[in-house]
Amino acid sequence: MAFNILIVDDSPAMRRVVRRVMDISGVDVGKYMEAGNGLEALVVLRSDWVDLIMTDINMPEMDGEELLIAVRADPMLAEIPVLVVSTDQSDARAKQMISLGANGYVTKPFMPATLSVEMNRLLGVEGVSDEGF
Amino acid sequence: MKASDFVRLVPDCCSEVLDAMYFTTVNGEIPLDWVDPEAPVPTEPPVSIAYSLHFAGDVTGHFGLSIEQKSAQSLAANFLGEESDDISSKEVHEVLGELANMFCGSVMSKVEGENKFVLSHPEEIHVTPSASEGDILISKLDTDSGVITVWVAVEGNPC
Amino acid sequence: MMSSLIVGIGDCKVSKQADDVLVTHALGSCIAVIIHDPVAKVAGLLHYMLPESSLDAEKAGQRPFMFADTGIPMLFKSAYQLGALKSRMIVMAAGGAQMLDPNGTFNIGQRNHTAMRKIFWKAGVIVHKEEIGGTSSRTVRIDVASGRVQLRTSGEPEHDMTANTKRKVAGDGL
Repeated sequence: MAFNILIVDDSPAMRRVVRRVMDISGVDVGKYMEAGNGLEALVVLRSDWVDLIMTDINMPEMDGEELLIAVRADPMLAEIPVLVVSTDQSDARAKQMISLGANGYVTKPFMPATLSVEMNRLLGVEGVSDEGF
Repeated sequence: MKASDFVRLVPDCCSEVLDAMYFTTVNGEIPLDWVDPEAPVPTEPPVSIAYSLHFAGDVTGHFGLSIEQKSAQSLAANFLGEESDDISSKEVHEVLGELANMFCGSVMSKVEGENKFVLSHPEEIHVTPSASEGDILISKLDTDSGVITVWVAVEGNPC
Repeated sequence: MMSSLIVGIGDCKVSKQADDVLVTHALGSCIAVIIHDPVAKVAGLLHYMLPESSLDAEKAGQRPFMFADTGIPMLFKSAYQLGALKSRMIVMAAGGAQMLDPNGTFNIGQRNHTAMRKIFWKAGVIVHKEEIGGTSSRTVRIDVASGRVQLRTSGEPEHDMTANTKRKVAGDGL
């Protein structure tokens, strides 16, 4: 099953890194879509099927928190898993985003394996776990 | 909070970011006026690239970094997982913008604790601040990828 | 009958013999890279000491497994020769402790870890499980048939550090 992935971050370099982590995780990606802020992301979401949204928080025009609120308020988008990838390392911020409906929270800087595990988890793909036999 | 309060935070946070995603070790801080005695005298002044962004929370101000082009190229290659020769100037700039963002975000996470903070989009600047400009801390980090100059300027405090 | 193959410092071994166990001791600031293809039932273990071969090009030619940048690619290539595929490989690492090295510096362990992560990032390889850092020496062993990895840190009981994957991982590079 091929997944459609939306990466939302005002940094093209970070969008590229996130995409690379997904590629080397072996996820079957049908389409990558990118957006530089929440407004652009909503345009994509209203015109294309998306299986997973990965979003930064601090972005111009519309930030990740506003995007998350908009996604959860729209019945057509509300069920899409959202993974937040942010420089804000505070527990309060993570809890706040989860309470707004985010399904996961990864802080920058991150190890590829950390992001990979979260991506796989939210896509419901059997991936690598660190549990032993 | 004053800029001098960031004196340990800046090298520690920058070190964490550089090691985690840029695969670069910070060997220590060097004096601002330090010149490598073994480096050949350049025929032209080295080209540097600088990025800055605004942060706002309980503490408000600007954060920035400056790095020589060659070192920036090496950092960008590490971040993107590519060979240095394959990295374009545009890609170098994009990576440096994200580096400034991650440096600042890491520092602000420690400063603000559970309080929210907002970071602006990093922008390239062509004039870097001097130590005499307001409440500012400038650090020069010696790394495996070259020297990176980092500064934090806090707004609202008298000089 | 179980056969223990000892991997020394600056050494590497691969095997697809079902009763083999690859083991390495005295992992201080050194790092062990442990790989396993659960389909081909191939395992490999590399014990490297230093991050970069450019530190000593002559030695790198004679003893490539001493260095991360020469040893890691050779570990993978050796495993491929026994039928392992990169897309199926489970990758683990242990070691990189902070110990006083002969030069009197403390951070070779951290540099070894950074070098390994850089090599894997560039090659498009995810490290599935790692136990890195601390200040104690480690011993690690992998059972070739099962891919089970046991780790012992000095002063602590042995434990299972196996990473389990049910899905193939795609990629190219190494």
